[in-house]
Amino acid sequence: MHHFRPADAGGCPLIYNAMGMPISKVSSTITASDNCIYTYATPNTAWQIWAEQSVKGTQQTYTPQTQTYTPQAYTIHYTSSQVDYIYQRWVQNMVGAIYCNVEPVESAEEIRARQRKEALVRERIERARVIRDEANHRAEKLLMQFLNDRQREQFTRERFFEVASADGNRRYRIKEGWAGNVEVISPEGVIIETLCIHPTKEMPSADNLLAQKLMIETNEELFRKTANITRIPARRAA
Amino acid sequence: MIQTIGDILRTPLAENQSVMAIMISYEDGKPERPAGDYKVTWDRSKPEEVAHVRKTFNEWRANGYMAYKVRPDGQRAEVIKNFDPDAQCIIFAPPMQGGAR
Repeated sequence: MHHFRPADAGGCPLIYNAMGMPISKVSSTITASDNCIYTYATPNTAWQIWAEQSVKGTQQTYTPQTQTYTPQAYTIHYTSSQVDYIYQRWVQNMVGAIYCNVEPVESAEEIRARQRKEALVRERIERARVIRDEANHRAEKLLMQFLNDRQREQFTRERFFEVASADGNRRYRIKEGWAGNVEVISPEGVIIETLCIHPTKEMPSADNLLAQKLMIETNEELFRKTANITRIPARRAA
Repeated sequence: MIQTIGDILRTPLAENQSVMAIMISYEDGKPERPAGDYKVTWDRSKPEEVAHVRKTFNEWRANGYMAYKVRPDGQRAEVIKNFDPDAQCIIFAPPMQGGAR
């Protein structure tokens, strides 16, 4: 009697003995200790076959994802004569391409190393988040300093502000956002165009809004030439 | 609009001081020049400071940035292609591109 459970990542079932130690040979072509490229298109089918063939298997929970299995804590008991057949069927049903990193159970040292690495990654993500938040705060402060009272009040309340073109012929509504966030409003207050224009590099949204505002006010022609403009049909606009 | 140019900075600017605010992308952010906006100040009466800022101005122009001279009296901004050492405030906005329809 063995215990049979999926790998921690990548979806390739590993076979463990009663002591929880992995058994290296699980099929004639692929061994559990290899880092293999497996292919599959129908993970559900593969999994079902694998589970069905585990005759005495207890009911397990399976969360299907695009390319990976999310293993749950469970143990399936099966007879040793079924091992190769189950595994082969599981492998045979792999048809697309994923990297399946099959690793043996981690040692205590490996667990500590992994945890250290994960902590570093978490720390790096948190640091990046703080930097981004600070940048967003600075950018919004700059934007607010260049809005007039009406625009500032509008932006605080509605998260958009309106700007008139230099010749006064168009009224633009600049909404908080990155792309497709500029609208032209008709004198009747109807949206007649949406414009998509933004900086070439990712930066705080407030910087984008200020850049759009300055460009409309100083060089509307270039602004419109650069932007992708979608005209809203009168019927829809009404 | 801007009431005083000092509004742009936390501390008020001196009489001859001007400021240039440059919008920095996340990608180009560095500890000494963080993303969001980065400010450079200069004393209009000090040629060495003016020369230093002129160099910075030309570098950002070469990067495709658009320079706007902004007046503290609420008037509309003005696009400038050459550094104006007498400007009180300059904003550098990044190059823009059209997005998806």
